[in-house]
Amino acid sequence: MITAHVYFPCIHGDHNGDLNKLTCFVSSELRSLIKVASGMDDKIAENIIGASRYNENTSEAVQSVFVRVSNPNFTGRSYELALAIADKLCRYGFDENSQYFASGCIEANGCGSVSEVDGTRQKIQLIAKIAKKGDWVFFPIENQKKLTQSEAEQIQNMRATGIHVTFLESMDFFNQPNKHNDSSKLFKSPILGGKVRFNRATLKRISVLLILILSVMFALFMFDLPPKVSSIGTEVDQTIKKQVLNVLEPVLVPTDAY
Amino acid sequence: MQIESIEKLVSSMLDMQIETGDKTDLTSFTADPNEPLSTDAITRLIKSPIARYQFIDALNAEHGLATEKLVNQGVELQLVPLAASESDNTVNEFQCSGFSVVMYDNRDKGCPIIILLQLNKVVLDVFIPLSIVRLYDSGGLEWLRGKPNQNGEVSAEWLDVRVDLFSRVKRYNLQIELV
Repeated sequence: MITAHVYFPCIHGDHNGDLNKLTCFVSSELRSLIKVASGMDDKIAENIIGASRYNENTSEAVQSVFVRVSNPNFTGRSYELALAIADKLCRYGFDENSQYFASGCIEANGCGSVSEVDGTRQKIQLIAKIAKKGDWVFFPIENQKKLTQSEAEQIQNMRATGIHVTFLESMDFFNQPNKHNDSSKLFKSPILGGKVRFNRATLKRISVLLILILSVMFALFMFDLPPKVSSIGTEVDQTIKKQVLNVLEPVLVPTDAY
Repeated sequence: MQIESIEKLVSSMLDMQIETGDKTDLTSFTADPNEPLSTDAITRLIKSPIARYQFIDALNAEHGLATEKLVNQGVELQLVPLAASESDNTVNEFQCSGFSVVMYDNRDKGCPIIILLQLNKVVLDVFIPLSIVRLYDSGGLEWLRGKPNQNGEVSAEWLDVRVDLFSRVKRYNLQIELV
């Protein structure tokens, strides 16, 4: 039975706080998808894990998981990312020599979006004291944009000592191990994405390609026409116009009109 | 909290109670039992100790009927010690026709034993939404109690390291009860 632990920092006011251990393990006996032994409501855990498993296309995607939190007396939502990652680690295997730390919220949009958390300064300080070479630390990408200089330096120091600090936009990050080298190092068996999905950059590339193809086609069309037709819209050759109309008329005018 | 404060709090709670009389039942609050109760009637019912006792009595009677029905159907509500057939180092599973118990032992990974009780459909069918289920052994130790989810599952952690559940399950019957 693979048992995965992910630590999430709990900050009390402006103090350093402590780390809370969230544990997940796969259970073949469970009828429910998720069952929580302690720490949170079953339904809440089910929503978080349901969202974080979005786009997984493996047999492990339907495995049932038991969840427990070492200290159930905590508040806030920053444990959600730890839960989502622990769920993946126990199903796909991981390096047992590494420790895993996470703080972030999983949005209820069902797509596993990771949103920002408060208290980044204290959380980074707390994790930096404990994490060692080969460990993994996860934060939301929104928090990366708001890092102060000292926080950014602390992250750099952690990376310099061999700690993998990763900022996530979505749990989909883990579904593309070939694209993201870091995530492929994380699991023993890869998580395959369910379908081809286009992000904004891919859509931009496709749009540019389409514009290029259309431009080329338009240029070819212009070269084939007689020179006087080059000023389309002002001196269109009547014969060409008639030819075009003859071609288009059966298509554009419904047969009922006859 | 000081003892005086606790006494004050309990006294004020007791002072809130209103006795409605020995013959408290729904018919004394509304002419038509099918009509919803008024806020005033609900408040009086909640504050009445006799009404609360009557509710418990009614619930126990329902539980008695449900248990009788299951027993008549031949559904087992207890596991004998020898039923501990399937077991390995980390998972121990015990089954009977009414329910199953799974014990996950992850103590070497720093987790306590986790107990999972799964009620079978035949028990879930007679289950009253207000009820909770408790799992206990014939040695008098309660293993867990809680409200089952839609799949009939209740789970709990066993935090008392002085009690060895694995040895108890070999000596005592495991039983469930609706409460």
